[in-house]
Amino acid sequence: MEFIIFICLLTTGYFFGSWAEKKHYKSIVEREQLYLYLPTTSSKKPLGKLAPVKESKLVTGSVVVSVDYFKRVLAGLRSFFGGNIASYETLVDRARREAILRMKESCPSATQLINLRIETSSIAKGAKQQIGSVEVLAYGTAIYCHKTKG
Amino acid sequence: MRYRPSILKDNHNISHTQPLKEFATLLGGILTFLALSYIILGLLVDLAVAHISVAMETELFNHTPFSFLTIDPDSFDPRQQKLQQLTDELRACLEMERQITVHLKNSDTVNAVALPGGHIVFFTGLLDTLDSENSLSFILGHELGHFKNRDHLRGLGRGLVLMTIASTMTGPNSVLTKLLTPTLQLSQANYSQNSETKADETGLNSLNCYYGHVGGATIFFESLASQQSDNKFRHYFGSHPQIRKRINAIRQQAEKNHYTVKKLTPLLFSENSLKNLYPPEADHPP
Repeated sequence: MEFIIFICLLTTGYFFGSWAEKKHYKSIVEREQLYLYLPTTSSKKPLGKLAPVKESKLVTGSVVVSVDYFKRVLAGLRSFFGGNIASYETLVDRARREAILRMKESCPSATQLINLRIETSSIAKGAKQQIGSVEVLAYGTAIYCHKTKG
Repeated sequence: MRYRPSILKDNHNISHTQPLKEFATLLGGILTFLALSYIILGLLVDLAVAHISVAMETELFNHTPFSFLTIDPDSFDPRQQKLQQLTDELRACLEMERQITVHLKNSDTVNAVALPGGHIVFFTGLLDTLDSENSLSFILGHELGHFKNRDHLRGLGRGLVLMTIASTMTGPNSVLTKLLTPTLQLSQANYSQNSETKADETGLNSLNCYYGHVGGATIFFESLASQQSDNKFRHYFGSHPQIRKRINAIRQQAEKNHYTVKKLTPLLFSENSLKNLYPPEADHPP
């Protein structure tokens, strides 16, 4: 009986997990295209010559993503042999990009976003039998400039 | 410095692998590892079994709470005494020095099992299907054969090894361990066909030694073979496969040793003999 439950969880995890991931990646790519106009760098100084700065402020974007059951089992199996945990790589990648996107979405009219930093932390660290989830926080300085004529 | 915004084309931060393929590869690897460990440790158990002395076995298993052995003293079956007596005589015939205790367990199960620590559990379900003392002696001799060949430890050992590997790798309460635990259920101790054949040989020898002939050796199996579809007997078939093959092997063995077949001894505690043992007056006071 427990074996059947395990197989059901695994199958559900795989199908829903892949579906959710595909959907998420699609949305990430679309939104990244949309916010391409906003220069974002990790540099401490703004790029190029700017018009007089009107305002600058701290902006943040954070996201918590959970891994599905299939990926958790896959990562567990991987831990026997070592190597890349490919199933977690997509999870962290999605979280990172989503956090930056959310940060950009919080300041759509900024001229530039500088000093971008990313922090991650895992939720339920060390606790066994819990769903592994990751939090990614992206923060930076949004600069708003006066509009130049012409 | 020019800033050129660009969209990520090839994502280098993730491995582009097929998760299902990876899952299959990893699972295959782990299963292969488990199988190899099982075979290797199983072989080690076989080696260890040969070195476990009777004294050590008694020491190891006498504190193991086998559920079969917790027999309610109120429901003591007088037939047990006869079984014990028969076992002791067969044991003397086989020149087995170790003490074997027979427990008669009230159950519909048609089976008898040899347990570590020198115990034979005989289920009344099996006893009720027997109609001659010779058949009973053959089954007891067969179980004694398991002790002689140390199969009772071997069967347990392999199950133990498998469970130990699983519980070490995945924890004692994991799904895998729980799945494997039933292999330890003693009533279904699974001996190889080879050990069954060897035990049959011992049974046959003890029968010939005790009665001077081997009549009745196959009667029980023949009745089994004719009732194969009966659910009641499924238990016995689980651990004693290919009944027909066994009957033939027993017959060949008997021919090879020039064993003869003579008149069967009635089962002493059949209805009539029980009356002699326990006169009706005792049961029904005047």
